[in-house]
Amino acid sequence: MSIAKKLPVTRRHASAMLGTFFLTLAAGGAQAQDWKPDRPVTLIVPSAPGGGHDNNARILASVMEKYAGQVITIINQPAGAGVVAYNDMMKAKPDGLTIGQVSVSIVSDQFRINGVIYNKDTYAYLGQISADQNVLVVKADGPYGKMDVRQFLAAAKENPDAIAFGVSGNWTNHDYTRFQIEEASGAKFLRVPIKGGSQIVLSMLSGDVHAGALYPSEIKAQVSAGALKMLAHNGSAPLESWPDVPSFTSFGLAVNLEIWRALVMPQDTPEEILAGWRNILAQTMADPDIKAGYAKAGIGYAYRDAADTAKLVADAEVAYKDISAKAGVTKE
Amino acid sequence: MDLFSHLATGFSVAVSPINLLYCLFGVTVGTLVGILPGIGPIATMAMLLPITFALDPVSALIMLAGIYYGAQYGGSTGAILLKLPGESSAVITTLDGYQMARKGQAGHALSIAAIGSFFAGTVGTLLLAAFAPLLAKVAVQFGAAEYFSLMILGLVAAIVLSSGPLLRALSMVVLGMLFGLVGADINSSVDRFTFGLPELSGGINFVVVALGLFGIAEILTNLENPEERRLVSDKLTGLWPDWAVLRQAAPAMLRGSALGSVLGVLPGGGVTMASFASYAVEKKVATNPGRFGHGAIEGVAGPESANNAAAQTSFIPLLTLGIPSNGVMAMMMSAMLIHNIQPGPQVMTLSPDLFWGLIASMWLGNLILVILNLPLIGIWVRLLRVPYRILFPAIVLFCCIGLYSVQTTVFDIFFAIVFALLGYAFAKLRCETVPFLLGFILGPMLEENLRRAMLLSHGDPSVFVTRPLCAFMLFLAAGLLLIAVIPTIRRKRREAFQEG
Repeated sequence: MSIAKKLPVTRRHASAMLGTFFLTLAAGGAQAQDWKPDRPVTLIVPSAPGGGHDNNARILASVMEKYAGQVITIINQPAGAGVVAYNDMMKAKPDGLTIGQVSVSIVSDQFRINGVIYNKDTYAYLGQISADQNVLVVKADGPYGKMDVRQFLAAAKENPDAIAFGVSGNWTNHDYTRFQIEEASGAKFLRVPIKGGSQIVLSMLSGDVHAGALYPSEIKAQVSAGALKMLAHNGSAPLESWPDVPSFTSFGLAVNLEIWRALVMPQDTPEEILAGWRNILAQTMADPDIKAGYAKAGIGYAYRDAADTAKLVADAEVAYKDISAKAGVTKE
Repeated sequence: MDLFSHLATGFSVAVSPINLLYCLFGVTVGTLVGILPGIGPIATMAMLLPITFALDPVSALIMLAGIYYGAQYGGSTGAILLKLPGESSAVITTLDGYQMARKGQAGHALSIAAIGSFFAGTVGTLLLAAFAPLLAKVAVQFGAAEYFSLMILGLVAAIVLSSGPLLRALSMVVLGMLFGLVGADINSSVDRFTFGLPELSGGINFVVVALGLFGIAEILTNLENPEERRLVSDKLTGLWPDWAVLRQAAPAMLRGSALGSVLGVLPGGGVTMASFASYAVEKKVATNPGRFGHGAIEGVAGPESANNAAAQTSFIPLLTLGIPSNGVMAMMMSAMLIHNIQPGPQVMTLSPDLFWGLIASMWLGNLILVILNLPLIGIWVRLLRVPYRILFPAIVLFCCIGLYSVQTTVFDIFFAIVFALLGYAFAKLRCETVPFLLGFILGPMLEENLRRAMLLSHGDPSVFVTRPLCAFMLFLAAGLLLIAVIPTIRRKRREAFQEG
C-alpha cells in the first residue's frame, strides 16, 4: 500500500469514532443501519488476482471504502476452485469486519463438487453487486458468420458434433450455457474445454473452435474489431453495450443462466451489523463511480437489496439442481 | 511508415512521468540485483509482483521488464570489478573483464560493456518493433495443432541449448512437466497429483517455483562459497573510452548484437546462452585467440552486447505467440495475466498502448542504464561491500513477503521451501534448473494443445503431418534432436560450454 493510501485512514478513523460517539449519544434512538465498522475490513474473493471476480472486487472496494469509512483489504483465496474461500466466509467471525464476495457457484458447487456443505441458506446476504450475461459468438468470417441464431442452431442440430464449442472447463458457467442451448434447441456441439474465456476467443480467431458463450468483457474488443459476431445472449434485459443483440428467451429458448455476484456475511452476524452494511452497499451501488468502473472493466451493473438477492439465490439453486440432474453432472 | 507511428505512440506512453518513474525504478532495481549475487531477475520480479496489483498494467510491465534488462547491465559490474558475476549471463564476462580490471583497464571494460549493451539494446528493441507485428499476423492463424508442434520445437531447442549432458536436460524438462501437470485436469476436472490438498487443485503457482528455485535455493548454494570479495581498484579511470578502444570493440558489439537477437527469440535460449555463444564466436574470429582470457576487449564487448540484445528479443515469442521462451518471460506472463491481459497475437491490436509503450520504455530504460552504470558506478561498487550476513537474510525475508502476498497463504511459503531444497539438490547434482522451469511452464500448454488438437480432429493424429506448418515445425524439431546426438557436434557443443 502506498503512503497516499494509508494517510486518509487516520482521518477516516477519527470520523468513524466520532460517528460512534454520536451513536452512543443518540442511545438507541439511532437507526440500526447507522452501524459502521471501526476497524479495517477484509473482503474475501474466491479467485486469483486478475480476472472478472477480482476486478469486480477491486472496483467495488475502492468506492465502498468511502461509505464504510474504513480501508477494505482484498484477500484472494483461489484454492480448491473457490471452495476454500466459501468455507472461510462461512466460518468468519460475525463481527462485521469480514465480507465475502460470492458468485452463482455458491449454489451450483453442491451439485458438482464432493464434500461441499454450503448452499443458499449458509450466508446472510448484503446485496447483489453485478450480473454478467453469456453471449453466443461465432467468427465473423468463419463458416457460420453469415447465419442468425436460428440458422446456426439448425446447422448444429443437422450435423451433431460438427460445430466445436469452446467452454472454460467442465460445468463452468460457459459449459452450463452450452448445455442449456443444446437442451432448448436440440443442437449438439463438440464440447472443447479451453482454459479461460480469452483463450477461447483466440481459438475462435484461429478457426479451431467455431462458437462460444462468453462474457461481454471477454469479447468486447474483438466484437468492436469486427472479428466476432454476436448471435444471442442469455440475459433477462438487453445488453448494456449492445442493446440490439436478441436474447435467447425472445426466441422462446430457455437459455437464461446469468452469472451474478453478491456480498455475504456469516449467517450469525448480528442484525444491526447487517443493516449497517446493507446501507453502505446501497450507497456504494448508487455511486456513479461504480457504474463508470464497471463499464471500463466490462462488468455488467446490477443491484438487488438483501431480500431480493436471497430470492435470486434461491431461484438459482432450484435452476442448477434441475439442470445438473438433466445433464447428469457427477460430483468430482 | 507504420513502424514510426507505432513507436511514436509508444514513446508518448513511455515518457509519461509515472511510467518514466516506474522504468527508472525497474532498471535501478535491476542493476542492483544484477550486481548482487544471490538474487536474480526472476526472483526479484516474483517478489515485486504483488505490488503491481495496484498499478496500471503498462506501468507494471514497464517496471518488471526494466528489472530484466537492468540486471544485464548490473551483472557486468560485479563480473569485471570482482570476478563475481551477479547474474549467470555475466559469468563469461569475468574471463576477460576481470583481467582487464587487474591491468588497470576497469574503466575501459565497464564503459565498453555499457556502450555495447546500449547499442545491442537499441538493435533488439528495433527488431522487436519491426518483427513482432509480422509474427503476430501469422500467429493469429495458429491452432492447437500448430501450438503443440511449436512447443515440441521449443522444448527440443531448450534441451539442445542447455549446457549439461542431453539426457540430464531431457530429464529436467520431463520432471518440470510433471510438476506443471499438478492440479485439476481441464478436460475431465479430475485432480491429478494433488494428494488431496485443496491448495494444489489449482496447480502449483509459478511464483512459488520461481522464488524457491531461483531465490532461496540460490542463497543456499551461495552460502557454500566463502565470502571473498577483493575489489581490484578503487579508482576508476577511462570511463569514457578513447576512439581506438571503441574501434577495436565495435565489430564484436555488432556480432554480439546479431547473435544475441537470434538466440533471444529461441525458446530456452535467452541471455546466458547468448553471452556464452558470443564469446565462442569472438574467440573463433579473432586473429590472435591467445589474447582471450588475458583481457581482450572483444571478450567483454561481444557477450555483454549479446546478452542485452537477447533480453530484448526474448519478448518477441511472448508478445506475439503468447509463449514464454524462458523463466523471466514466464514471470512477465504471470504479470500480464494478473492484469487481465492474455499474452498472444492480440496484445498488439487490443492494447497498442501497452505493447508499444513497453517497447519504447525499453529503449528509454537502456538510456537510463547507461547513465546509471557509468557516472554513478561508484555507488554500485559501494553496494558490493554489503556483507552477506545482512544481505542474505534480507533477501530471504523479501522472498517470504512476496510469497505470502501473492495468494495471502502461508502454505506457499512452506511450499517454496520444498522447491528451494529441490533447487539445492539440482545444483549439487549439476542439473540445470532452466529446462525444469521451461518444462513446468510449457508442459501443461503442450498437453492442453495436444488433447485439444486430437479432440478437434475426432481422434485422428494425422493433423500433425497434414497441416504444413505443423509438419515443418515437427520436422525441424526432429532435425535439431538428430544433429545434437551426432558425435562430432556433441563434442563441439561440449567445448562451447566449457569456455566458462
